[in-house]
Parts: sequence; C-alpha cells; structure tokens
Amino acid sequence: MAGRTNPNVAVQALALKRLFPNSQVRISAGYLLWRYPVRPCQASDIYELELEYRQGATPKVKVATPQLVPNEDGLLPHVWDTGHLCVHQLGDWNPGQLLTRTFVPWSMEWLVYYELWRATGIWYGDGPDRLDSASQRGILHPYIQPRVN
Amino acid sequence: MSTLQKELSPAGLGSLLGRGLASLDLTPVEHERVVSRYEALGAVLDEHWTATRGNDAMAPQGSFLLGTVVRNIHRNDDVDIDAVACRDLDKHSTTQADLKTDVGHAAAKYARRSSSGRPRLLEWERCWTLVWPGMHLDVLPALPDPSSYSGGLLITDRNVRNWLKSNPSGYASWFRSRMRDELRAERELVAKAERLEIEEVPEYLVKTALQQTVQALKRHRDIYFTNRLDQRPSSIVITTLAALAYEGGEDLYDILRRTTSAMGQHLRRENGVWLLPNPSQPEENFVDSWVTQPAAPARLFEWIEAASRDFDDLGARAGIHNQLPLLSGAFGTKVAEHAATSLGTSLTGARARGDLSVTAGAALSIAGVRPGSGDQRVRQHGFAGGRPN
Repeated sequence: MAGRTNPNVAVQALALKRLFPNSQVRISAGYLLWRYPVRPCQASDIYELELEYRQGATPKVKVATPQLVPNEDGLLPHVWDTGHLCVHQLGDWNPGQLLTRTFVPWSMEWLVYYELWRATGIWYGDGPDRLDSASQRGILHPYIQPRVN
Repeated sequence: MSTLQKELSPAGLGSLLGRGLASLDLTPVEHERVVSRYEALGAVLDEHWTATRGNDAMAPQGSFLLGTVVRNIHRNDDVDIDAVACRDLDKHSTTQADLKTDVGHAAAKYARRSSSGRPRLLEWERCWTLVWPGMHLDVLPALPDPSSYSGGLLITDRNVRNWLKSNPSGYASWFRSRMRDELRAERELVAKAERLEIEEVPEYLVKTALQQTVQALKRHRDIYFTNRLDQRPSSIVITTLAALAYEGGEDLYDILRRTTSAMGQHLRRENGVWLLPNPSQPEENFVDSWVTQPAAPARLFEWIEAASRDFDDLGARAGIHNQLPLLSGAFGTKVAEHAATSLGTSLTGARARGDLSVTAGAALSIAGVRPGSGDQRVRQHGFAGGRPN
C-alpha cells in the first residue's frame, strides 16, 4: 500500500485559510509564511503570531506583537535561543501533520501558559508534576526578541 | 457552575472568576464533616431533651443551607457554619435562658465525646459555638413558631428575653426559587456525566451563578472592610439584595457586574426608615438595626460602588496576567492562585486526554465530547527549549 504523501505548503496554506479565513498566508516554492492575531482564550490578550515553514523542516513560530516580557533576569520559559517559541519535543512533529493541529494551537497554548506565568511565576504547561521549583527553574532561557519578517 | 461545566467553558473572565471562587467553597470532605457533626450533636440533644412532645431537630441555616459559604479570610480561611437547635416545646413551657442553658449542656456533653473531635465550647449572648481546627459551628437555640405554616422558628434575642421570629428554611426556599432553573440544569449536567438520576445529585455538588455571585460579594466585602469588620453590611442583607437583583445570564462575570450595580435599588425608604423585608417573612425587616446605626446605609452604598468599580476594572484589560492581580486584590490571593492553577491544570489535562481543540475563531477550547464542526483537535505534544534541534 502506498504511503500517504505529506501535505505540501499549498495544502498547509489551505488548511490555515479554512480555519482562519482572515489570516495572511504567503507561499512560494516549498515555503510558507503565516501571520495572524490570535486570542488564545477569551480572557487572553491578542498576539500576532508569525509562523514560518519550509517544506519538510521543523516550523518556527514567534510572537510578532506585542513584545514578550521576560522576567527581571531576562528569561522566558520554553523559548529557543533564536527567540522562537518552543512548543514541541523531539518526536511530536513530523511533516505529515497539519500546522492547524500542531504548531498553531501549540503556540496558542504556549501563550495561555505564558500569561499565567507572568502573573504567578509558575509555568503550568508541563503538567502538575512539574510545578516544583527545580523544574520551573530548568525551563527558563534567555530571551532575545526575534526579528519579524 | 459545576466543575464539569467549568471544564467545558472557554477560559473567559467569568470562567477564571468561577475557578477562583471555587476556593471559597467547602470541599466535599468538609461538607460531610459538617453534616456528621451537626447530626451527632442533634442526636445528643434529642437524648438530652427526653421531655419533649415531638421531634427535636438540629438543622443548618444561613450560608451552609444556601450554598454560599465563604471561608473566613480574617481567620485562616476557617469555615463558619450556623445551625439551629430546635426543641419541640411550646414557648410558655420554657424560658429563653433555660433553653439556651439546656442547649449548652447538651453541646458540652457532645464536646466531651471522643467521637466529636473534642471541640472547644464557647458561650455567647444568645448562642453557643463549637470550635474545631478550621471550623466554627454556631448553635442557636430555637422553638417551633406555632403561628407559622412553613417551618418558622422562635429564636432567642440578644437579651434572652423576647422571642424573635425566624424562618431559615423558608428563606432558603425563596433563595432557591431565584435560581430554580439553573440549579436543575446544573444538576442535570452532573447527572448526565455521572449517569445518575437528577435526584441522586446532591445540591451541594453544584454551584449556580447566583451562589457564586453571593460568595464573590461577601468575600469582596470582607476585604473592603478589613480594618473595620464591625461595620460590614451583614451577609443576609447582601444575599437578599443579590438574589433580588439577580436576573440570570450566561457569563458569571457579566452576572456579577449586573447584579452588583442593581442590588442597591432593592432597598426602600419609607418615612425615614430603610426597609429590606425578609422575602419569606415580610414582617421582618433585615435592616431594622439601621435605625440605631445612621451611618450603615451610606457604608453599604459606598461598598456597592467600590465593588462595582473593582468588577468593572477586572474586565477593562485583556490578558490573564492583568486580570489575576485584580482578582487577587478584589477577592484575595488564594482566589487568584486557585484560578491560575485550575486553568493551568485543566488545560494540561484536556491536552493529555486529547480534548483540546482550536476553533475557527482562533481560540483554544476544551472540547469535551464533541468539537464544533470546523474545529481542529490539537495533537498531543510537550514543551522544550534551548538550542534548536
């Protein structure tokens, strides 16, 4: 039986437009750039997400506006050195998956946990068994505001 | 709002508020403990009162009966429960002083039993208080009111001289009537989820928006009057005004705002006297003490205004990080912490169960059983960080 082909950037763009009809999606050969202001839950602020995807590679997502606010030591939980949000672990993502079911909602989840973290200093996103101070310290990384395309 | 419904709700400000207010409630274990304690005390009283014509009764009253208990922020989050000890006697066969002494003897006998947890017994002007760590049970002596057809009582007054009419069960029936449909809907929801008959779902397991609104108002009052607790408007006044102003609705935050801004309109002034009749016993005026406290009405209106302002501010800025500190200021740090923990853990729980969806409106939702037609189920994942892999 032939394996399913991975969704190309056009299919990804279509899925993004279907779920977020007013969002901006730019595609060129094997490349997709999506921008959209999301309100992850009713109580949240609005954040403009920018998602970059090169066919077959790991997508990258960042917050274009407003600027994320690190703690007084310049640290944020679960960010890459590049300032992108780190919303997956090894094995969570493969190119057969739709961005609408992965990186987009994963980033929205990140934002809810980020707002909770700003108010409480606690990152709830790793589960109830990771609320101890050692676990909480271990997820903080220096944050550099990424460049917006 | 029941826990289940909270799980299904999108995380709006009303949901955040409801999650936080849940920390003011009795836990199911505490609830059972209260019931077993006043039932055991009731059995001792019944034994003690052998020369009674019919059924003596120990029954809860006040916030426990209404489902509006609020932990005491000024006393280590203890819970205060009110109960009446009703001896089935005619008022001419006893005196208030004898009845009160009698209740005290029975309470002392109960408190000496090892099974009671040996609470301390304190005496007040017209009642007794049993004190356990974390819980105070006020026991008010009473007789049946022969002129009442709806469970009315005669209770002791401050001077232990004149019998006062009271009707806690009638008041509770009125309060329940203000939220009847919602109470039924909440119980149905739990019954469906737990595959029970609605009658099998105890009322204390569900919480309506009216009950939560009363809890929110009482807690806000306790914080607002921190340095002058003796000047607080009474809980019965707040509860009655809120229940009169309550018009139902979908979102707890909107309900709280609307109810708060409308509650002052239900106080009347006739011939210079403020009136708030007990809806279950209109000859009783809940604010009759204001005759000797001329500053009390102004204090109530001042607090209602402050509460309205604080609740408006809560919704003025988007962002959970902006709202939690305001929740903390209005209702205390534990309410805000509980709101944060509840939202955080319900979101991770939904993700772990595969119940998280993203809606076409670009919001996350905890989908429960069925997501909407255009919604996308979120794949499970974890967060990492550091250098890109």
